[in-house]
Amino acid sequence: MKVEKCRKRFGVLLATAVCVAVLLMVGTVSAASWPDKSKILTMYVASGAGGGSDMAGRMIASVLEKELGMKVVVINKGGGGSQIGVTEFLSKSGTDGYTVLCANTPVTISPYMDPARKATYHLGKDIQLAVGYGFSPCAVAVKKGGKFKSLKDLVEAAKANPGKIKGTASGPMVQNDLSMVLLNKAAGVEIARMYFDQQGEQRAALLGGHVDAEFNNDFELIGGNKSGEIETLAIFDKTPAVTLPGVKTAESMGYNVHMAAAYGLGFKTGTPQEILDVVEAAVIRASKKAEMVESFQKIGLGVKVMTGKEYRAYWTGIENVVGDVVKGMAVKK
Amino acid sequence: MDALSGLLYGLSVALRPENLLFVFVGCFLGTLIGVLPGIGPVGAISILLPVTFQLAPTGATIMLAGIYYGVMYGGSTTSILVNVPGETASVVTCLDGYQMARQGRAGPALGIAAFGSFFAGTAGLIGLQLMANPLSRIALKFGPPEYFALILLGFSLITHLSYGSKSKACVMALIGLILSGVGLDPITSRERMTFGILNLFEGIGVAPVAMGLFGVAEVFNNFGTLSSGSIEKIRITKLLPSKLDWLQAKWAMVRGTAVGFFLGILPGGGPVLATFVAYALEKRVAKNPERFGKGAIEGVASPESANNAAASTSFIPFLTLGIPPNVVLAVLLGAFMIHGIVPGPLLIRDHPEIFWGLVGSMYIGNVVLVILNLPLIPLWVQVLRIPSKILYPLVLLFCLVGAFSINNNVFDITVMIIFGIVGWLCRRYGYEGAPLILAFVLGPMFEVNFRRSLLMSQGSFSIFFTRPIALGAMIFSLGLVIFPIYKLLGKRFKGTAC
Repeated sequence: MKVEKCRKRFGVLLATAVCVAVLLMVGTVSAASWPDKSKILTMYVASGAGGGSDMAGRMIASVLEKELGMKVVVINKGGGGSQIGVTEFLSKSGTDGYTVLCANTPVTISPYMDPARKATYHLGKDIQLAVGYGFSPCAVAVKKGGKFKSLKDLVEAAKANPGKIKGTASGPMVQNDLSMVLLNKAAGVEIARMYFDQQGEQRAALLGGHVDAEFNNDFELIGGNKSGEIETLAIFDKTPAVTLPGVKTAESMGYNVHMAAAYGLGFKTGTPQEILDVVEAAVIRASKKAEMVESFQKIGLGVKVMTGKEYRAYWTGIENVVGDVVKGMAVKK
Repeated sequence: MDALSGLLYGLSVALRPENLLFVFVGCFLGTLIGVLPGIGPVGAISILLPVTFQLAPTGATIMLAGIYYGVMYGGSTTSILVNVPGETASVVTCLDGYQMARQGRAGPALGIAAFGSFFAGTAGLIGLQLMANPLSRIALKFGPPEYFALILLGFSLITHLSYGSKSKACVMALIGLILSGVGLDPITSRERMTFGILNLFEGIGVAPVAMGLFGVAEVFNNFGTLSSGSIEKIRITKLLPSKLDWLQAKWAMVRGTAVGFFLGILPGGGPVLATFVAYALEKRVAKNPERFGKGAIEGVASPESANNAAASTSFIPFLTLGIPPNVVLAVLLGAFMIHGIVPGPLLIRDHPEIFWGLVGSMYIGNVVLVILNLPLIPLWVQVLRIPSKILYPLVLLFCLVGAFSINNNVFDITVMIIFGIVGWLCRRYGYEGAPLILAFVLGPMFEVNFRRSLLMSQGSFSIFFTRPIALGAMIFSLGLVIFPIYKLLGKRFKGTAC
């Protein structure tokens, strides 16, 4: 009896072990065979068609298509400052690696750092970052030949006329707005934040003299800078940008402000690490080729590869910045 | 290079076989996208953007621009035939265009829309070619207070969009205004009237509301008559506008063009606003305004001219200052940048082939569009011969697909159906959809410009009365409200005196 029971138990154990092994194998097999080139990689861009995030998404989609040898389809899902797109990505995506999110700091971060937004997700819990690929620092520009010749001029004027100096951003809590908040904090001034959701309205308000400064991403400023309508005073990054030649960093002028849009790719938590590694390697491989760098240059987006780990660390840093700003806003009210 | 030799050069660029092909492809795609409800020029151009990477910059920009103004031509087709606005810029065309079609005059309506578009588009181009620089400087004078005053003027014209009761029109406008407030607050990102529904965070879309209130409501309305079996047969009388049509529409086209010409230059204004204002103006100056809403040809000619003139002149701030005045041109700006071209004051000097090539191609494009659209009119009119039993379910199907195509979101379909039911009920009780749509479109602009202005003045309302353009518009709109009241009171007073 006893022996029989033992045998039975052993049998059950063996069967379980075999099952687990098979399952594990299936798991590894599926991850190892990723990407299945007959399948389609669906990429969620959490903004409408057109605009910086969409462009960055479509550029990396064509890079992945070449490197992975599979079809990549971009789905635009704008709204709610990326909240709608990310929520849908998480509800539709499996963990098989065939649905990827175009992540973007700080835009993807802002909704869930603000409790009032009631986001149903949090990056650390729901999304694994595979790789960062594009980087666009924020900068501040003024009308050329106007009152302000330097960032110091602008800050001094803001000090002398509290609340009267006006800066533009494309919307609350996006990178260019945050760069303004950080400058206000670093310089101890209160530049009034005015939002223009269309890029054209922003520039028209600046050139028409209705606002004093435009806070924007470098790629939005290249054109105006080249044609001499505007003058970029400072860039909010650790190093000057190739996109805006001759523009110094705010840091070098004594204002320690760093803010940028950093684009990357993320998968739903639970996706095998192997898949993330394949994507990371593919982007790193592509970034060493002239083709990707040149095509990114055309839209004024710098290629800056961060490994999954580095991108996560960068992301956490921005989370803290956004968190502080949200808290500051709550205190004010 | 002066304007004439520039234009000749531009035409020579645009007439190169490959560029001619791009003009044609762009215009054709634009017409198609315009005809299909839902998907608009923004989506279409963004999707085609990667395709243009491989093309020469001149060809790429010519084609994408062709899509943009081609849409303005095509958008009116479904408005006139089945009361479904193909684009937001064609909502107003439904009001009289569809009524004309019901009277068997779809041909003249489509014809006048095409000719009006051609006339206005070309007039806008002449402005672009000759006065681009001074005009763009005028556009810069418009800051938030000026926009606020201008939109207030738009509101004071709102009752002109209805042919029935004025008070009912005001009620609908108020509802539209309230609905436009749904979504995240544009400045603080706090939720307003969203009831925690994530899809409402971005606000309710204009296109599904317009398609619901006009197209779907019309379908529901016809279901009623279908079941009762009393289907009125539409007799198609003519295919082209008659001499009388021309006489009536002539000045409407000119006025529509003027309105569109001006509003097109303003960033944030654009073709949609232009159509509403042009229609209201037309009704205001008409000898017998009661004809409007019942198939007046001016009601088609004026908004259709306005949106094409605006499409042409919106290139002015774009090409001279690098400012895209609306979302479509913002996407187009991206396309320029990809090819290493920076729109702005230096464009003519650095890339004359692009600037003049584009202008030249638009002249040609407008001709292409007329040639493309006129032979199609008899074909489109045949749509009305399809038995209602088949036509209306088809229209509904197109609306469903169209609403989904905007954001790939089922929620937009829900919104469209809800507004279809609302529109159907409203119509039964004599409430019209147009004032609601206008208030809905103007609402967000009204709010943000009001708040921006007060941010500029640090809370002082004097900003609306101390800047000349703003003050002028404020006085004008005040006059528009007070004058009819004064006239009414005067009449009453006379009445009692007698």
